[in-house]
Amino acid sequence: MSAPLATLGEVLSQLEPSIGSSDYGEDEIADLLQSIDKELHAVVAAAGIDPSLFPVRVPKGRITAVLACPAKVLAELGSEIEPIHSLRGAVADVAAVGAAMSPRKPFELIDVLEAVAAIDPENPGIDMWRNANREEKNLYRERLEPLSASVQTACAGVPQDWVVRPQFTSQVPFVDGKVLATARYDMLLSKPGMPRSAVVVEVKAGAAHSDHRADAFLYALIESLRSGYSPLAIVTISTGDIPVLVEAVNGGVLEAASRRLVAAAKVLVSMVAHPNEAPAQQPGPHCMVCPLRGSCPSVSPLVAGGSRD
Amino acid sequence: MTDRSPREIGQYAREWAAERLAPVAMQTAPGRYGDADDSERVRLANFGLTTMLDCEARVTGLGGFDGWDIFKATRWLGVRSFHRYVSDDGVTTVQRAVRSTMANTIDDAKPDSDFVDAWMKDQTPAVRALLAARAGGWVASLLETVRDHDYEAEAIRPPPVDGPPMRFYLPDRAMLIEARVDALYGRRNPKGQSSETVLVMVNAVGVVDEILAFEGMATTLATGIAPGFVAAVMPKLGAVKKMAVDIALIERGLVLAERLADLELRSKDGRGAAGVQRSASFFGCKDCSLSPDCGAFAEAQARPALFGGLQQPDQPAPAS
Repeated sequence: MSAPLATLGEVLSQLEPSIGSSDYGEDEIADLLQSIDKELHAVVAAAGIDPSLFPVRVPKGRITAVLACPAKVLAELGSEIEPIHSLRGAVADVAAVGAAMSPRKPFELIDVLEAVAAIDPENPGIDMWRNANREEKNLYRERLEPLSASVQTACAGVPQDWVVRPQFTSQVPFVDGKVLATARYDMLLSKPGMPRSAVVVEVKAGAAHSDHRADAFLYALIESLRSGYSPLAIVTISTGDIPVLVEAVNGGVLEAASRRLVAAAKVLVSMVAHPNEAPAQQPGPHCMVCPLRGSCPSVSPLVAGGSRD
Repeated sequence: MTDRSPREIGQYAREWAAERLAPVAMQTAPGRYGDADDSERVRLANFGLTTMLDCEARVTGLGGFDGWDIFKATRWLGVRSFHRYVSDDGVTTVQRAVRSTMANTIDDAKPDSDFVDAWMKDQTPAVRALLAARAGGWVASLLETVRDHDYEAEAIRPPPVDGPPMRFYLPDRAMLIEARVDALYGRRNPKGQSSETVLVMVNAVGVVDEILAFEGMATTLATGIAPGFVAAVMPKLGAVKKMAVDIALIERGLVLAERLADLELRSKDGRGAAGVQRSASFFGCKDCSLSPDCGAFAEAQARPALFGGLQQPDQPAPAS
C-alpha cells in the first residue's frame, strides 16, 4: 500500500489503531531470522573467508547498491560526497527531527544549520557555508531553504507522547556475529510501553524515487529482526509531489526483503573472501552516476554516449 | 569463595584492588585524588575502557575533558529525565520528562557556570530540540530493551543522580575507578542472595563481556557491596546480556583496570604509545591525536575499503 498523506502527524493518527496488531507475529519473525541465519551459515562456510576479516558488514545502503552493480560499489568506496549534497542531507535530517520535536513554530534555516554544526561538526558542508561569501550564501540558501521548509511541513504534527529517536542504529548479527546487517534510521518513532508501535522514518533530500520503496522494505526487515516486532509502517519523507510516502509492513514485504538481504550478503561475502577477483559488472540506470562509466566495458548503452552530468 | 555475601565480596574486592593495583597506583602522585593537579590524576572509567578495547594506543593520546557538547549532554539529560519519569507521577511521558528536566536546568543555570546548565542555556531552540530527541531516545531505548527481556519496567530505577559519584579511590594516590550505572533493577541484599542488577547501556557490542567485568568490579568497589548481577543493555541489537558479579568477574575487571591504568600513565610519564597495540577504525581514528604518525591508520587509509569490511582488488578490474 502506498498512500499520499500531508504530514507525519496525520500518518501517526491513522496508524494508532493498528498498534500492537500484525499479520506477521513474533514467531514468524523468529522463523525468518533463523532461516536467513541458516542460509548465511552455508554462504560463509563455502566462502572460506580469512577470520580476521569478520564481521562482513551488510549495511542497508550497500544491499541495494551491490544488487545493482558490485563493480560500482567497489569503485565508489572511499569517494567523498560533495559538500553541498552532504549539507542538504544533514539539513533535511535535522529539520525533520526539529519539526517532530517542536511543533509550534518552524525553524529558520540558520537555526537548522546551527543544529547541523552541533550534531555533525565535521560535515564538509558546514565549512563550505561558513567560508562562503554573500553571493555564494544566497545561492546555497536558495537550495537549502525550500528543502528545510518542506521537510518541516511534512514532519509536523507528531503527538507529544510519541518518542522520536534520531539517527537510530540497528544491527542484526548472523552466523554467530560473522555477518552483521545494519541500518541507520533517520528517525525511529514509538510509543513507550506499546509493543509494535515503531514507525521508521527515512528523510530524503531529493524527490521520491523507486529505490526508496526497496529501501523501506529493508528497513522494515532489519527493524523486525532487531526488535522482534514488525514496525507499523515505514515513512519516507522527500521533496516533490509526494512528500510523505507510507509503506505498510506485512509478511510479503519482509520475506521479499529477506531474499534481497541474503542475495546481497552472498555477493559481499564473496567480495571479502576473494579481494583480487574483479567484481561483476551489471549495467543499468546507475551507470549514469558511476565513476567507471568512461571505462567500463559493460556500461549501459543508454549512457555509453554521455552522462547525466 | 562462592558462598560469600555481597558485602563480603565487596570487602574482599576493595582490599584486593588496593593490593593488585598498587604497582600502577604508586606511579601516580601521592596524596588524595582531590588534592592532585589535574594533569596528575588517573581516572579509570567507561570511556577509557571502551577506547582501550577499540585501540590501546588511542588511550595514550586522549586529552582531558574538552567541554560540553550535544553528545555528552545527551546522557546527562537522559539520566535525569529517566529519574523524573519514574519518580514524578505528574510526568506520564518520556518526552514530557525530558522537556521539564531541560526547562528546569535552563531556568536554574548559573551565570559563568562551566557545567552543562550554562551550555544548554546557550543553545538555539533547534539544538535543544535535537538534544531533547536524543535524550528521550536514550530513555526510551533503555526501557524498551529491558522490557522486551522480561524485566518489569516499573521495577527499573535510575541511579541516584544527586548522590556521590560511584567511585573507588585508591588509597593515598591520585587514582580512582569510576562505575557507570545507567539504571538499577531488583533488590539489594548485602547479607544474602542479591537480585540487584546494574544496567549499563552498551554500544560497543563486540566487547560486552569486558565492559560487564569492568562495570561489575567498579560498582562493587564504589559501593563496597557486590550487586547480584551486571547487565549490558544493547538497543542496537535489541538485546540484554547479564552476568553474575562474583570473585571471578571482579578479578577479570581488575585485569582490565590494571591495563587501562598503565595506558593512562603512559600519556603522563612520557612513554606514550610505543609498543602498544594499535587498531584502526573509521570513528576511532577520526579524532585521534596519534593518527598523523600511526602505522595502523596509514595502512587502513591506503586501503579505505577495509573500513567497510571490504578489501579493494590489487589491480583495477580487467576489461572482459
